[in-house]
Amino acid sequence: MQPDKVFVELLAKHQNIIHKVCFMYMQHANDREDLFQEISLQAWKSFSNFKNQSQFSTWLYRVALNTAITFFKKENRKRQLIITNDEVFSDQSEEPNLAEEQTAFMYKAISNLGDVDKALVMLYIDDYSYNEIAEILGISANHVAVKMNRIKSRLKEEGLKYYQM
Amino acid sequence: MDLDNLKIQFNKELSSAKTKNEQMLVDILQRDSISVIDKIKRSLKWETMLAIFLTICAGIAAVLISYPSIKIYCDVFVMIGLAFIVVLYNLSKKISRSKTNTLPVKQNIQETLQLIKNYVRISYSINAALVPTFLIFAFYLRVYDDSLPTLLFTATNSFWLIIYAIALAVLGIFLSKKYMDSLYGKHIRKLEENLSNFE
Repeated sequence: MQPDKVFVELLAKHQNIIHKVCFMYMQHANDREDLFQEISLQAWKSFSNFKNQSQFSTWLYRVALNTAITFFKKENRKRQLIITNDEVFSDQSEEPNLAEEQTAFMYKAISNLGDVDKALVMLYIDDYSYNEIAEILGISANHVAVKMNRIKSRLKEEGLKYYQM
Repeated sequence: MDLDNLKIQFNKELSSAKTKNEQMLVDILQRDSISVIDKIKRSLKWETMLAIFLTICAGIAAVLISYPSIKIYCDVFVMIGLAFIVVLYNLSKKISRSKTNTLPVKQNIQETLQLIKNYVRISYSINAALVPTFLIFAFYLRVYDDSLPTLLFTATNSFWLIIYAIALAVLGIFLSKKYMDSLYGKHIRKLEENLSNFE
């Protein structure tokens, strides 16, 4: 089926959302490409259900997260986001500075979270309100707040452990 | 560093992602999906086609073969085949109707899990039941049809044939379980784990 022009334009405009989700859920470039393709296809298949009741970006976020969380290309090839210092600073010859090291640590800590917690972190750092996150995930805003507090505490604890090493 | 500080860095990293132009997106949208639900849809399509083909073959055999017991066997095969086609068709329709991707994430996981489990349960039940059913039925018919050639069945080897048939049925059930688990087991467990993360 030939893709609808309106859909392609919307997808091109909001593709950054898909890139973000791929970046969060897949480590390797090939896997990110595969996930990008799958999210785009699923969004296209579901586009007839988009009723303009919500913003396209929020709708696309939901489709992207749903696809990423249930995506298994090959069961033994599913990889988690594991970003090492080497990968983050691969284009730099100098020793990483403190800020870069902290960023690398944060990515590594987030990669150890479950798929659902990663979705929460993503929406949070993308400035979605607790109510919007609750709507996308299908849980209450209070539950989102509780889970966010737990995630923040966990990341903080891991940070403390890391810097005590 | 906390999550709020990470936001800036995260967006910076993403700015290096290769933006796709509209033509590249159109190309992507014309490829095949590799999601588990789409794979199940494709499997169901092939299984339905195979069931239709075998049922037609059995129907033709029932008309052409003159041995009464084999005629009965083929007739029963046709009836079971038709029931099988109805089950596969209904399952396929149910999966095609589901629009899980636009649901909230928690509900999507629940529905996807339910669809996969349903498919696995039905496939396993059919695989597990069909082999012993037809083997037992074949032996039963053989016992009551003296017109069949006695090339395979004699008084001395019938006992062993029954033993082999039972062993084959048990092996079939075991392999069927293993096969379904290798295809969907990890996926189901991962989705269950994700669902438990909502608690």
